[in-house]
Amino acid sequence: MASFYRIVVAALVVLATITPFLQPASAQSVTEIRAKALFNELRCVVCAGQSIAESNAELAQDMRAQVVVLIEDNRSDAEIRDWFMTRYGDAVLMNPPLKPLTLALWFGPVLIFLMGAGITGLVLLRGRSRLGEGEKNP
Amino acid sequence: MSDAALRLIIVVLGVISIFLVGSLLWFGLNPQRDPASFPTSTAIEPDFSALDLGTPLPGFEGFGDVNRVRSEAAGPYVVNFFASWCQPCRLEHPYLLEFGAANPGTLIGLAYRDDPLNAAAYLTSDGNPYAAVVADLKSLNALNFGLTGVPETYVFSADGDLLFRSPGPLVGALKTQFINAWEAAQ
Repeated sequence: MASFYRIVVAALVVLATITPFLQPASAQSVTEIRAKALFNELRCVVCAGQSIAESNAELAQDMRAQVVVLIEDNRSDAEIRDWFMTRYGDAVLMNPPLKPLTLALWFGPVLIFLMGAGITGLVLLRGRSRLGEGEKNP
Repeated sequence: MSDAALRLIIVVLGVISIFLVGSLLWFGLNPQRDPASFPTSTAIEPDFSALDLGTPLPGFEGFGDVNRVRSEAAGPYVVNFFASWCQPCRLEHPYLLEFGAANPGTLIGLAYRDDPLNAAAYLTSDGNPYAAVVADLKSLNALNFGLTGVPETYVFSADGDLLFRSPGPLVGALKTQFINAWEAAQ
Protein backbone atom coordinates (compact mmCIF):
# COMPACT_ATOMS: atom_id res chain seq x y z
CA MET A 1 0.00 0.00 0.00
CA ALA A 2 2.84 2.32 0.96
CA SER A 3 4.44 1.83 -2.45
CA PHE A 4 1.12 2.79 -4.09
CA TYR A 5 1.08 6.13 -2.22
CA ARG A 6 4.69 6.64 -3.20
CA ILE A 7 3.81 6.22 -6.88
CA VAL A 8 0.88 8.63 -6.54
CA VAL A 9 3.02 11.26 -4.80
CA ALA A 10 5.80 10.83 -7.35
CA ALA A 11 3.31 11.24 -10.21
CA LEU A 12 1.89 14.41 -8.60
CA VAL A 13 5.37 15.85 -8.13
CA VAL A 14 6.25 15.15 -11.77
CA LEU A 15 2.93 16.65 -12.92
CA ALA A 16 3.42 19.78 -10.79
CA THR A 17 6.92 20.19 -12.22
CA ILE A 18 6.02 19.94 -15.89
CA THR A 19 2.69 21.81 -15.78
CA PRO A 20 4.25 25.33 -15.90
CA PHE A 21 6.24 24.29 -18.94
CA LEU A 22 3.15 22.94 -20.70
CA GLN A 23 1.10 26.09 -20.19
CA PRO A 24 2.85 28.60 -22.49
CA ALA A 25 2.53 26.26 -25.46
CA SER A 26 -1.16 25.63 -24.93
CA ALA A 27 -1.89 29.32 -24.24
CA GLN A 28 -0.92 30.18 -27.84
CA SER A 29 -3.41 28.98 -30.39
CA VAL A 30 -2.29 27.41 -33.64
CA THR A 31 -3.63 30.48 -35.45
CA GLU A 32 -1.43 32.76 -33.35
CA ILE A 33 1.72 30.69 -33.94
CA ARG A 34 1.11 30.49 -37.69
CA ALA A 35 0.21 34.20 -37.91
CA LYS A 36 3.40 35.22 -36.07
CA ALA A 37 5.54 33.12 -38.43
CA LEU A 38 3.82 34.64 -41.48
CA PHE A 39 4.14 38.18 -40.08
CA ASN A 40 7.91 37.68 -40.17
CA GLU A 41 7.85 36.40 -43.76
CA LEU A 42 5.81 39.24 -45.28
CA ARG A 43 7.31 42.62 -46.05
CA CYS A 44 5.62 45.87 -45.10
CA VAL A 45 5.52 47.29 -48.60
CA VAL A 46 5.70 50.94 -47.56
CA CYS A 47 8.48 50.52 -45.00
CA ALA A 48 12.23 50.24 -45.64
CA GLY A 49 13.18 46.61 -45.11
CA GLN A 50 10.75 45.82 -42.31
CA SER A 51 8.45 42.85 -42.02
CA ILE A 52 4.81 43.42 -41.08
CA ALA A 53 5.70 41.96 -37.66
CA GLU A 54 8.12 44.84 -37.05
CA SER A 55 6.13 47.71 -38.54
CA ASN A 56 3.11 49.47 -37.17
CA ALA A 57 2.33 51.33 -40.39
CA GLU A 58 -1.38 51.36 -41.22
CA LEU A 59 -0.75 49.13 -44.22
CA ALA A 60 1.12 46.63 -42.04
CA GLN A 61 -1.83 46.60 -39.62
CA ASP A 62 -4.17 45.86 -42.53
CA MET A 63 -1.87 43.12 -43.82
CA ARG A 64 -1.63 41.48 -40.38
CA ALA A 65 -5.41 41.52 -40.04
CA GLN A 66 -5.74 39.96 -43.49
CA VAL A 67 -3.24 37.18 -42.60
CA VAL A 68 -5.41 36.25 -39.60
CA VAL A 69 -8.58 36.35 -41.75
CA LEU A 70 -6.96 34.03 -44.30
CA ILE A 71 -5.73 31.60 -41.59
CA GLU A 72 -9.23 31.47 -40.13
CA ASP A 73 -10.46 30.79 -43.67
CA ASN A 74 -8.39 27.55 -43.51
CA ARG A 75 -5.80 28.63 -46.10
CA SER A 76 -2.38 27.01 -45.96
CA ASP A 77 0.76 29.09 -45.38
CA ALA A 78 1.73 28.66 -49.05
CA GLU A 79 -1.72 29.84 -50.17
CA ILE A 80 -1.46 32.91 -47.93
CA ARG A 81 1.97 33.79 -49.35
CA ASP A 82 0.51 33.37 -52.85
CA TRP A 83 -2.44 35.59 -51.92
CA PHE A 84 -0.07 38.47 -51.18
CA MET A 85 2.30 37.68 -54.08
CA THR A 86 -0.42 37.93 -56.76
CA ARG A 87 -1.42 41.32 -55.34
CA TYR A 88 1.94 42.85 -54.36
CA GLY A 89 4.45 40.86 -56.44
CA ASP A 90 7.48 38.84 -55.30
CA ALA A 91 8.89 41.73 -53.28
CA VAL A 92 6.22 41.24 -50.60
CA LEU A 93 8.20 38.21 -49.36
CA MET A 94 11.16 38.93 -47.07
CA ASN A 95 12.97 36.02 -48.79
CA PRO A 96 12.68 36.52 -52.55
CA PRO A 97 11.62 33.34 -54.38
CA LEU A 98 14.24 31.37 -56.30
CA LYS A 99 13.69 31.81 -60.04
CA PRO A 100 15.84 32.69 -63.09
CA LEU A 101 15.57 36.43 -62.43
CA THR A 102 16.77 36.08 -58.82
CA LEU A 103 19.56 33.53 -59.42
CA ALA A 104 22.24 36.25 -59.23
CA LEU A 105 20.74 37.47 -55.96
CA TRP A 106 20.89 34.02 -54.35
CA PHE A 107 24.15 32.68 -55.77
CA GLY A 108 26.07 35.84 -56.75
CA PRO A 109 27.74 36.26 -53.33
CA VAL A 110 28.74 32.57 -53.28
CA LEU A 111 30.19 32.93 -56.79
CA ILE A 112 32.19 36.03 -55.84
CA PHE A 113 33.47 34.26 -52.70
CA LEU A 114 34.54 31.20 -54.71
CA MET A 115 36.38 33.39 -57.22
CA GLY A 116 38.17 35.22 -54.41
CA ALA A 117 39.09 31.92 -52.75
CA GLY A 118 40.29 30.60 -56.12
CA ILE A 119 42.50 33.62 -56.74
CA THR A 120 43.92 33.45 -53.21
CA GLY A 121 44.62 29.74 -53.63
CA LEU A 122 46.35 30.26 -56.97
CA VAL A 123 48.49 33.10 -55.63
CA LEU A 124 49.56 30.93 -52.70
CA LEU A 125 50.25 28.00 -55.04
CA ARG A 126 52.35 30.25 -57.24
CA GLY A 127 54.32 31.49 -54.25
CA ARG A 128 54.95 27.94 -53.09
CA SER A 129 56.13 26.75 -56.53
CA ARG A 130 58.49 29.72 -56.68
CA LEU A 131 59.77 28.85 -53.23
CA GLY A 132 60.34 25.28 -54.47
CA GLU A 133 62.29 26.58 -57.46
CA GLY A 134 64.31 28.81 -55.15
CA GLU A 135 65.33 25.81 -53.06
CA LYS A 136 66.37 23.90 -56.15
CA ASN A 137 68.47 26.77 -57.49
CA PRO A 138 70.03 28.61 -54.56
CA MET B 1 51.50 23.81 -63.59
CA SER B 2 53.94 26.28 -65.02
CA ASP B 3 54.38 29.64 -63.40
CA ALA B 4 53.28 31.50 -66.55
CA ALA B 5 50.02 29.50 -66.81
CA LEU B 6 49.17 30.12 -63.13
CA ARG B 7 49.91 33.78 -63.56
CA LEU B 8 47.60 33.97 -66.59
CA ILE B 9 44.74 32.26 -64.70
CA ILE B 10 45.17 34.65 -61.74
CA VAL B 11 45.08 37.69 -64.01
CA VAL B 12 42.03 36.44 -65.92
CA LEU B 13 40.10 35.59 -62.73
CA GLY B 14 41.08 38.94 -61.24
CA VAL B 15 39.82 40.85 -64.26
CA ILE B 16 36.51 38.91 -64.23
CA SER B 17 36.07 39.61 -60.47
CA ILE B 18 36.72 43.31 -60.93
CA PHE B 19 34.22 43.36 -63.81
CA LEU B 20 31.55 41.54 -61.71
CA VAL B 21 31.96 43.82 -58.68
CA GLY B 22 32.08 46.85 -60.97
CA SER B 23 28.83 45.90 -62.71
CA LEU B 24 27.13 45.33 -59.31
CA LEU B 25 28.19 48.83 -58.22
CA TRP B 26 27.21 50.28 -61.61
CA PHE B 27 23.61 49.08 -61.18
CA GLY B 28 23.45 49.33 -57.39
CA LEU B 29 24.72 52.91 -57.09
CA ASN B 30 22.75 54.32 -60.03
CA PRO B 31 21.30 57.60 -58.68
CA GLN B 32 18.17 57.08 -60.80
CA ARG B 33 17.37 53.91 -58.89
CA ASP B 34 15.39 54.15 -55.66
CA PRO B 35 15.83 50.91 -53.72
CA ALA B 36 12.86 51.77 -51.51
CA SER B 37 10.47 52.12 -54.45
CA PHE B 38 8.04 49.26 -54.83
CA PRO B 39 7.60 47.61 -58.22
CA THR B 40 4.70 49.32 -59.95
CA SER B 41 4.52 46.96 -62.88
CA THR B 42 1.30 45.38 -64.04
CA ALA B 43 2.64 41.94 -63.05
CA ILE B 44 0.08 41.79 -60.23
CA GLU B 45 -3.46 40.46 -60.47
CA PRO B 46 -5.94 42.68 -58.62
CA ASP B 47 -8.95 40.92 -57.19
CA PHE B 48 -12.38 42.55 -57.56
CA SER B 49 -14.14 40.18 -55.14
CA ALA B 50 -14.51 42.78 -52.37
CA LEU B 51 -15.63 45.64 -54.59
CA ASP B 52 -19.27 45.37 -53.47
CA LEU B 53 -18.23 45.45 -49.77
CA GLY B 54 -17.58 49.20 -49.87
CA THR B 55 -19.61 51.55 -47.70
CA PRO B 56 -21.69 54.16 -49.60
CA LEU B 57 -20.80 57.77 -48.80
CA PRO B 58 -23.55 59.83 -47.13
CA GLY B 59 -25.22 61.94 -49.84
CA PHE B 60 -23.58 59.86 -52.57
CA GLU B 61 -25.66 56.69 -52.08
CA GLY B 62 -26.69 56.84 -55.75
CA PHE B 63 -23.02 56.29 -56.62
CA GLY B 64 -22.66 53.30 -54.28
CA ASP B 65 -22.97 50.45 -56.80
CA VAL B 66 -19.36 50.13 -57.90
CA ASN B 67 -19.86 46.87 -59.81
CA ARG B 68 -22.50 48.53 -62.01
CA VAL B 69 -19.77 50.66 -63.60
CA ARG B 70 -17.69 47.56 -64.32
CA SER B 71 -20.59 45.79 -65.99
CA GLU B 72 -21.96 48.83 -67.84
CA ALA B 73 -18.62 50.14 -69.06
CA ALA B 74 -18.44 48.39 -72.41
CA GLY B 75 -14.79 49.38 -72.71
CA PRO B 76 -11.94 49.93 -70.28
CA TYR B 77 -12.44 51.50 -66.87
CA VAL B 78 -10.36 53.13 -64.16
CA VAL B 79 -10.13 52.51 -60.41
CA ASN B 80 -8.81 55.41 -58.30
CA PHE B 81 -7.98 55.21 -54.59
CA PHE B 82 -8.18 58.53 -52.76
CA ALA B 83 -8.76 60.02 -49.29
CA SER B 84 -9.94 63.36 -47.97
CA TRP B 85 -6.83 63.53 -45.73
CA CYS B 86 -4.50 62.92 -48.68
CA GLN B 87 -2.73 66.02 -49.96
CA PRO B 88 -1.27 64.55 -53.21
CA CYS B 89 -4.84 63.50 -54.10
CA ARG B 90 -5.72 67.20 -54.33
CA LEU B 91 -3.00 67.62 -56.95
CA GLU B 92 -4.64 65.17 -59.33
CA HIS B 93 -8.23 66.08 -58.44
CA PRO B 94 -8.67 68.76 -61.16
CA TYR B 95 -7.47 66.24 -63.76
CA LEU B 96 -9.79 63.53 -62.39
CA LEU B 97 -12.73 65.95 -62.73
CA GLU B 98 -11.70 66.61 -66.32
CA PHE B 99 -11.28 62.88 -67.03
CA GLY B 100 -14.60 61.95 -65.40
CA ALA B 101 -16.45 64.55 -67.47
CA ALA B 102 -14.78 63.43 -70.72
CA ASN B 103 -15.27 59.69 -70.00
CA PRO B 104 -18.64 59.31 -68.22
CA GLY B 105 -19.36 55.98 -66.54
CA THR B 106 -15.77 54.71 -66.39
CA LEU B 107 -14.19 56.12 -63.21
CA ILE B 108 -14.53 54.18 -59.93
CA GLY B 109 -13.47 55.88 -56.69
CA LEU B 110 -12.49 54.07 -53.49
CA ALA B 111 -11.89 56.11 -50.33
CA TYR B 112 -8.94 54.59 -48.43
CA ARG B 113 -8.82 54.73 -44.62
CA ASP B 114 -11.28 57.58 -44.65
CA ASP B 115 -14.44 58.38 -42.69
CA PRO B 116 -17.33 58.20 -45.21
CA LEU B 117 -18.54 61.57 -43.86
CA ASN B 118 -15.15 63.22 -44.55
CA ALA B 119 -14.90 61.63 -48.00
CA ALA B 120 -18.40 62.88 -48.84
CA ALA B 121 -17.55 66.39 -47.61
CA TYR B 122 -14.40 66.37 -49.76
CA LEU B 123 -16.34 65.38 -52.90
CA THR B 124 -19.04 67.97 -52.13
CA SER B 125 -16.56 70.84 -51.76
CA ASP B 126 -14.03 69.87 -54.47
CA GLY B 127 -16.38 68.14 -56.93
CA ASN B 128 -17.13 64.48 -57.63
CA PRO B 129 -15.30 63.01 -60.64
CA TYR B 130 -16.52 59.45 -60.01
CA ALA B 131 -19.24 57.44 -61.74
CA ALA B 132 -19.31 55.26 -58.63
CA VAL B 133 -17.66 55.82 -55.27
CA VAL B 134 -17.57 54.00 -51.91
CA ALA B 135 -15.43 53.99 -48.77
CA ASP B 136 -13.11 50.97 -48.47
CA LEU B 137 -13.56 50.79 -44.69
CA LYS B 138 -11.77 47.51 -43.92
CA SER B 139 -9.03 48.17 -46.53
CA LEU B 140 -9.97 44.88 -48.17
CA ASN B 141 -10.06 46.43 -51.64
CA ALA B 142 -6.78 48.20 -50.93
CA LEU B 143 -5.07 44.86 -50.18
CA ASN B 144 -6.85 43.15 -53.07
CA PHE B 145 -5.47 45.76 -55.46
CA GLY B 146 -1.95 45.68 -54.01
CA LEU B 147 -2.31 49.30 -52.87
CA THR B 148 0.71 50.86 -51.16
CA GLY B 149 -0.67 54.36 -50.58
CA VAL B 150 -3.00 57.03 -51.92
CA PRO B 151 -3.51 58.22 -54.55
CA GLU B 152 -3.11 55.20 -56.78
CA THR B 153 -4.84 54.67 -60.10
CA TYR B 154 -5.44 51.46 -62.07
CA VAL B 155 -6.47 51.22 -65.74
CA PHE B 156 -8.31 48.03 -66.68
CA SER B 157 -9.26 46.63 -70.07
CA ALA B 158 -12.90 45.70 -70.69
CA ASP B 159 -11.89 42.11 -69.77
CA GLY B 160 -10.55 43.24 -66.39
CA ASP B 161 -6.83 42.94 -67.23
CA LEU B 162 -4.59 45.48 -65.49
CA LEU B 163 -3.07 47.68 -68.20
CA PHE B 164 -1.45 50.45 -66.17
CA ARG B 165 -0.89 51.29 -62.56
CA SER B 166 0.02 54.76 -61.36
CA PRO B 167 1.79 54.62 -57.98
CA GLY B 168 1.20 58.32 -57.35
CA PRO B 169 -0.86 61.36 -58.35
CA LEU B 170 -1.71 61.76 -62.03
CA VAL B 171 0.52 64.76 -62.66
CA GLY B 172 3.58 65.13 -64.87
CA ALA B 173 5.05 61.91 -66.27
CA LEU B 174 2.49 59.64 -64.57
CA LYS B 175 -0.35 61.66 -66.10
CA THR B 176 1.20 61.29 -69.57
CA GLN B 177 1.64 57.54 -69.06
CA PHE B 178 -1.94 57.26 -67.80
CA ILE B 179 -3.33 59.11 -70.84
CA ASN B 180 -1.27 56.90 -73.18
CA ALA B 181 -2.47 53.72 -71.45
CA TRP B 182 -6.09 54.90 -71.54
CA GLU B 183 -5.93 55.80 -75.22
CA ALA B 184 -4.18 52.53 -76.09
CA ALA B 185 -6.94 50.65 -74.25
CA GLN B 186 -9.75 52.10 -76.38
